[in-house]
Amino acid sequence: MKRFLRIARELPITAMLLLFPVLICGLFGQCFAPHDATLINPSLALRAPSWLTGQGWTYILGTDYLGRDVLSRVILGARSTLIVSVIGVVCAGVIGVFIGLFSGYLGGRFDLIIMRLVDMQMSMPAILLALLISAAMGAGLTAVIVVIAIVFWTQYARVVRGETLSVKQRDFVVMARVEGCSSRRILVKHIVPHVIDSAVVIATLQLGTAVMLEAALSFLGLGVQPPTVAWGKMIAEARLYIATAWWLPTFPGITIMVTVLGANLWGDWLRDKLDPKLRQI
Amino acid sequence: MGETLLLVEDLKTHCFTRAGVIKAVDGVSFFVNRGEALGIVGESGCGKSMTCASIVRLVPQPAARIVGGKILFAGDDLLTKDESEMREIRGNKITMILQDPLMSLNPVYTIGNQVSEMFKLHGRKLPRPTMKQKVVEVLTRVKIPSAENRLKDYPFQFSGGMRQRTVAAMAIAGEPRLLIADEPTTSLDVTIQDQFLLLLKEMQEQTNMGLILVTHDLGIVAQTCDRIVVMYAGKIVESGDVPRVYGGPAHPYTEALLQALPRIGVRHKRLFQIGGEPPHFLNLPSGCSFWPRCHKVMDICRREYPPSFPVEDGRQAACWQLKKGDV
Repeated sequence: MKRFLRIARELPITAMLLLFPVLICGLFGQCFAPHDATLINPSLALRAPSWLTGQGWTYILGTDYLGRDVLSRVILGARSTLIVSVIGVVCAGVIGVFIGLFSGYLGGRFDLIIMRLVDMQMSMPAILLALLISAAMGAGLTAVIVVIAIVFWTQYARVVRGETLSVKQRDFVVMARVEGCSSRRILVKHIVPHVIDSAVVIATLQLGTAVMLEAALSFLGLGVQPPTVAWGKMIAEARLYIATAWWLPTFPGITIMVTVLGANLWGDWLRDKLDPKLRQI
Repeated sequence: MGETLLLVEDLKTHCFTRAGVIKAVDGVSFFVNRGEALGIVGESGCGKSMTCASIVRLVPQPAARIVGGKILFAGDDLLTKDESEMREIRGNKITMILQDPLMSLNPVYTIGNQVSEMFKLHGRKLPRPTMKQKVVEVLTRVKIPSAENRLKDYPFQFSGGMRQRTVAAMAIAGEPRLLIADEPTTSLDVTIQDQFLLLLKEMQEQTNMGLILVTHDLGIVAQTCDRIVVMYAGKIVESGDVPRVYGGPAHPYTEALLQALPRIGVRHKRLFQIGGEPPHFLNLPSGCSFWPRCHKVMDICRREYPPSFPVEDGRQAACWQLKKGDV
């Protein structure tokens, strides 16, 4: 209990305050969104935030060009963002950690080929790769997840490989071998616990980037498709009205910023907690 | 002494580097009987550790390879075993204690977890309470005070000596028949070192296992071992019973090593030192590798490597000096 309290006191309050609402919106958005986010009502189109015009609290953040409530759309947009970025980052992590582990542990030719592959991919601009993949797969939720997984796995592979290389040299691994451990057991029991921290840190730090990438893809029209709501998509639709209806791009923009900031703060905190050596990432 | 437990015959382990072949172990032969302690002595980089790694077949591949010889363990040639058979032998029949006790334990697991791992690894699945009891028992044997209270401790909560003893506990947990200790005391201070050696000796006598003690400290060998093997540049230069080798070393290298030991009660103006440097493996002198540093060097030493000459019963030395001398 005491230990629990101590951990609780050290939690990153800012990051949690920023991320918690996004999480709640993503999970239970339907329950408290004031309006149907996809209901089109042309007679209400392009209304300014109601507290500015003194029209009460019906459309707090205004409506878009089709008369849809911006607040409801921002709330519901959290879901696709969360699904895409979390699943994408987890997929990337699993692939990257596995490949990094084997690459570092087996070494030799396998390692060489994998690492050149990583280099090749890293020399390609992420957004270009993303465009290519989603263009080939057809836009949609799955495409964005695949894009995130493929763009992000290399970072895990590199870091995990490096850590594996150094851990496998350490005496307790030699000792385990002398005791008669199989390679699988050594990997699972002796190496994974030492590299998993870095992978978790990278994952949290990538979460922010994943949200941005998702928004960028949606903006370019390659992300999730209507009627599913996404923040990037909202900004894309709003760009025609930027001069007349500032609230359209502003609010989804702020949400993206808050989410990315929260994720990065959380990642920084976790990194300092788990492994201060990773500062440069 | 009992029957031969380990017989190494003409073992050759070479490292293949870009600069050339390093013959780290070059035709080494020795044996260990049951219940006997053998000391392997030599300067840094003379192939002691490589010899040990070869016995458990854990030489750092692919750079190093065992290229020849035989390692007979209880009559079985270990060099013909495949990897899964070797895994069965390692930890079970042959175990090893590594140099640095501070590094040999995994920092993320508790002591209890790591010691019980040894029982689990070799198919001895036991119910929890029995397992705990076993672990406590083996830790008590290596004299960890109040072992049952320390099972949940992590390695960093143990002192260096305790960690080394824990490693020893893990080594004897599988009741091995041969224990290889590769400079087990280099990172311990002298009092702890002494305790640990006594413990090692005690365990060895209790279980009647064979012990190979690798060290560069002749004092340790005198205290712990029955027989000694002196290595120089990948080859064995002298072997024999500890008291007799210490009493009258046959090889000039052994003699020089013994002279370099400080003695209590003797006033040294300056401690004896062996001139020159250990030879580089890629550039070994022709003939006997020791001749550039030998004070008894003869013409033939520069041309040909000396074979092993018997000195007396069970004692051998590779030195030309012995050929024409009193054999």
